[in-house]
Amino acid sequence: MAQTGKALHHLTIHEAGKLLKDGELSPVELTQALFDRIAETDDTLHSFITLLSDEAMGEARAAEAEIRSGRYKGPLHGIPIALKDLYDTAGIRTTAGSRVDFDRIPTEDSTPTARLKEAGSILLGKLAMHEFALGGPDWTTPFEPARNPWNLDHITGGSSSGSASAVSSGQAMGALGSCTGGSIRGPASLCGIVGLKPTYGRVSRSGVVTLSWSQDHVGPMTWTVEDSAYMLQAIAGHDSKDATSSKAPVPDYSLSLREDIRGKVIGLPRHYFFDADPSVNAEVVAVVEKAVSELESLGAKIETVELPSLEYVRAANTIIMVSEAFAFHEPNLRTRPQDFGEIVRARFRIGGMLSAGDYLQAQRCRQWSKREFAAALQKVDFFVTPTMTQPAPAFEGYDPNDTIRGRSFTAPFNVTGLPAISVPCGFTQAGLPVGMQIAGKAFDEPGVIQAAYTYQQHARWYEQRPNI
Amino acid sequence: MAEQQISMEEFKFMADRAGLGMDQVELDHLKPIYELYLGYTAMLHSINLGSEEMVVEFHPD
Repeated sequence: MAQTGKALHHLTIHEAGKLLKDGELSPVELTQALFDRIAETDDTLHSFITLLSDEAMGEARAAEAEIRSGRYKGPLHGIPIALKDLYDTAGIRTTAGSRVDFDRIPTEDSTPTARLKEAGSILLGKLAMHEFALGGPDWTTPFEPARNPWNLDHITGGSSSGSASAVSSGQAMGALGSCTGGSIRGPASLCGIVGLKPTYGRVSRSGVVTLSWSQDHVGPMTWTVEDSAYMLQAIAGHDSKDATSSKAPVPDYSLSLREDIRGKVIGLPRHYFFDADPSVNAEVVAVVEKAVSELESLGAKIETVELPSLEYVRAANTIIMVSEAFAFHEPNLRTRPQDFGEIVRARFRIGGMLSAGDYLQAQRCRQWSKREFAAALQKVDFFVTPTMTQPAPAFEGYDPNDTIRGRSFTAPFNVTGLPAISVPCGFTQAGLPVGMQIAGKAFDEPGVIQAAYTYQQHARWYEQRPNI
Repeated sequence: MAEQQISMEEFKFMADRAGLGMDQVELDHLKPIYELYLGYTAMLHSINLGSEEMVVEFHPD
């Protein structure tokens, strides 16, 4: 039995990896501890759609043998993780949270699935999500919505709902989410964990169920920044099976795990993210303002920046998203509309009612925004913002169409494709987590990771776990 | 985002043109949600983007 000082299910990937590498912890013991945790909590949280107990324990035994024989693969070797249920897994049902794909069993792994396997991770199961990565929670889909471990009466946010609840509650040491308008950073923020959306093209989308080809991103959701860096390292890199995959070299992200933000210039687009607006919660903004002042105390310089395109970027994100989604889902929408949940069926249908002119105007707006953000990032190193406009709403009275109204703090970085991370930065008075978003230049994941790591190590919010 | 509204007749015409095959109950449910999206399209068409081209690229290789 490993002597860790805390429950095995609350170890970070970094902590567990060191114990596994040194032979002080067995992957079998660790994986069993995670399944025990799932058994203890998932009747309440509903994080998982599919559990892979037999397969995972077999993988754990294989990892144990490999590590014992000196074939240690790296920081994910023997680490139990889980996947949002839109990552294809060969021979394992992949539902995308929908009745449409209820019985779909892929024959090949998605590229991110395959790369996590190559890194030696152990797949615990497939995670709950909002149907086809869009609207939710939707009680008309076949799966129970995941619940927020910090307050079970509240939603997790989405669409990577199960990924957030599983990592936050200690059911999985890390997970992959996917993100088209904020589906990694949003639930990460609402559930008090780290979510990293890399630059568009940094991680292959091959074998990941499509919502919007030009805006879908793949990324990790973990308890700490360093754990996200380890997962990104495993999945990043060119893939000939994804036409939008970048050939830019992949740096060593572990080199960014240094506490230093001195001299870095942080741009605050105050007019959109911080100034009063009916759709923005003032308490959330106040918590993030405090975190920004802490970054300043650590040596960062703060400047206000103006990005006029922000007022339009949410519109571009939404119109591009539903137009591309309709194109992808059109055959099923025509032949079996009853198999979609109410929310997604409505939004996808709207995608079919928009004009080519609407879509093209949204893409032109996107180009404007891309140039504007890039120009601003010549003068500042990062943008720092609240991740979400609100803390996690309660299930009771929640209207998913509220996500269509008002501002989105995450969508600008899907439209522009820039890397962005959400790191926990405090709590509301009601005890709900608040996240701070740090976004940087294209392919500057190292800079974004270092800034987030510096803040994390200073603020130490990771020491607080939900009481579940 | 400014609220936008269209008539049911116009909405039904657009739904039929898209070939969505919805009955009246579905049309009644979808119309107010569609009007939320109309706010976004109106916003996008209000921008003068000058010579800005769309971002998607095509590589013949």
